[in-house]
Amino acid sequence: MKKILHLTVFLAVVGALSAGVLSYVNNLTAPIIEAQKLAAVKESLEVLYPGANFSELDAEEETGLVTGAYLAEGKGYIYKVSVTGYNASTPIEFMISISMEGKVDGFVVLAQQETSGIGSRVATDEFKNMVVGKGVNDTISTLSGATVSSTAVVKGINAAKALYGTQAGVSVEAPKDPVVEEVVYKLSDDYSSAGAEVVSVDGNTYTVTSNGFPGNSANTFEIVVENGAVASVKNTVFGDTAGIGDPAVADDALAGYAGATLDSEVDVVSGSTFTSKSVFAAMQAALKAANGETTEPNEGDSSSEAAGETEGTVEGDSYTATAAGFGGDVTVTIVLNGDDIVDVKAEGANETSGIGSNAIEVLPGRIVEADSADVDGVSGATVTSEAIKTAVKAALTEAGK
Amino acid sequence: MNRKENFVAGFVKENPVFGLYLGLCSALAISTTLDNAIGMGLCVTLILTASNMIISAIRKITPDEIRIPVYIVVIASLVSVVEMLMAAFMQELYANLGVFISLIVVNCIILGRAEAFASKNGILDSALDGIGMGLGYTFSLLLIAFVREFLATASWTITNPFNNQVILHLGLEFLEPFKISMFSTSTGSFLTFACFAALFTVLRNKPAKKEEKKEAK
Repeated sequence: MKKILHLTVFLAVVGALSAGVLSYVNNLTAPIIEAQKLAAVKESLEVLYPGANFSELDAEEETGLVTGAYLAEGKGYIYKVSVTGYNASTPIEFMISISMEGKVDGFVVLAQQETSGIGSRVATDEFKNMVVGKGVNDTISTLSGATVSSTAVVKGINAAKALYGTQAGVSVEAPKDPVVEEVVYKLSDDYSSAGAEVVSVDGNTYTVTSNGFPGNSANTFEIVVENGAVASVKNTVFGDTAGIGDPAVADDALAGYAGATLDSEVDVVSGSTFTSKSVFAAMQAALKAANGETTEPNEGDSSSEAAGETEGTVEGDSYTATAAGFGGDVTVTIVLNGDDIVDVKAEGANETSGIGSNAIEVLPGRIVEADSADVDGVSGATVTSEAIKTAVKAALTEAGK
Repeated sequence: MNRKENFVAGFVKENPVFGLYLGLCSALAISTTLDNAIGMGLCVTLILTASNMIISAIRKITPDEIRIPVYIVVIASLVSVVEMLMAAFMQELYANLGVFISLIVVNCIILGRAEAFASKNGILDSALDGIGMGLGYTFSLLLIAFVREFLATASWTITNPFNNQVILHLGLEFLEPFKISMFSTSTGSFLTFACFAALFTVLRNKPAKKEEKKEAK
């Protein structure tokens, strides 16, 4: 008995001594560690609330999207959020500041690798203006045509708002489903970027190909036209992104277009804007063909090989070149305006879907943005990336640049 | 064994990594750069020396039945203290070494020396043993890191962990295209380790063979 008591007391004393030392060192170092953590993000915090006194708050909340919470003394709260948009490998990171009065004061995207020109719109002023100035109980709209990326960001904003509610002691209503920013589409609009082309006519049935999401292969539709109106639309080949584009070509969505004329307003299927537009472009081409209008040699059509042809939406000369990719040839068409590369289209039907096809989707945007073929390749799709760059260089050489 | 022999033993004959194969987990994982090797090596040396001294000091009053739990409490406290200090003053190094700092608690070298040496010897001897063994561990890490950093990056860099200023940078530009990035991964780590372990075995066996010959004569 005495022995056990001795052992217990000895171990307890050792434990107590160790706890004492630890709490002393912890008291000593905790403020320094805290200050250093804050210093790492201070620069971005300063953008939102310049000159404020910041302190870090607990960022624990149920969605796990909020990665950091900070209090700017007397001004408001700042939340750092990380969400996954269209690009599953790199999350979109942003900071949002909400004032003491419950108004969104600022929105800054820190990092994103969404598709250039599409999902990347969440980092533009266009989207920022839709967020800043809203109250915590207002619904924030998503971007039509960039539904996947902007829905993810809105989800993150809602998580930040909920956390704001608990931390600022304000009641925040549960967010309603995000509303898509209202855009009215007409069949007479310009859909030249889809490059719709009537490939065959059989009585009053028109077979039309048209492109959906940039970089995907074309969709094919069979459209029956009666008395200047669409009688039925059938999707025969679907080349767009599975899981995203398909609602737009579902039977009930297509049935809704029956009776449409060139003057009709048409509904876009939310979340599948690009595929919807490709349907509109196809219907427009079929209706025009039925009216006896010849479809112009098509604008923005990526397969147009003829050098020197002027494209509809972009002014300049186009050049085409080919280079060996992973599964076969990769063909690149560039449009030059003086020294500027104003448009790049890449095609490589034999590139591995999900790998090389990523490079075909992403690289053209980067090349236009950089105005040069010397851009970063898509990691994991090096062979296709290199082929695109080689082809662009060859096309530039052909152009004498 | 006198004190000097005791101290030197940690380098070749009883080198903890290449001789006794102790503490391999952390040695293989963090030996990617010289910076990490120096940082980790010095941390272990510091903790090992301190734990050896404390354990040696309380060896006479520590009841035999609970000596292992007592050692663990002592070592864990020391590791926590070092960890907090590093987080405060050497952030970059702390981020690089990550979980391997906390894992020093279960580093077999430390518990091994506590049980095998410090619990039976005086404070001064235990301190010397700790420094010797710790430097032996650091020396082994440096050897692996020296080879791995060069093969993986074609250069060597040493930075000051307190302010992240580069003290020394030695790069061989013309070797840039021949970098072998495999050596920054665990595969390269195992390869490098195996070569050194073989070399150390040869070094250790040499004197023994001479003695055998002498005896035969």
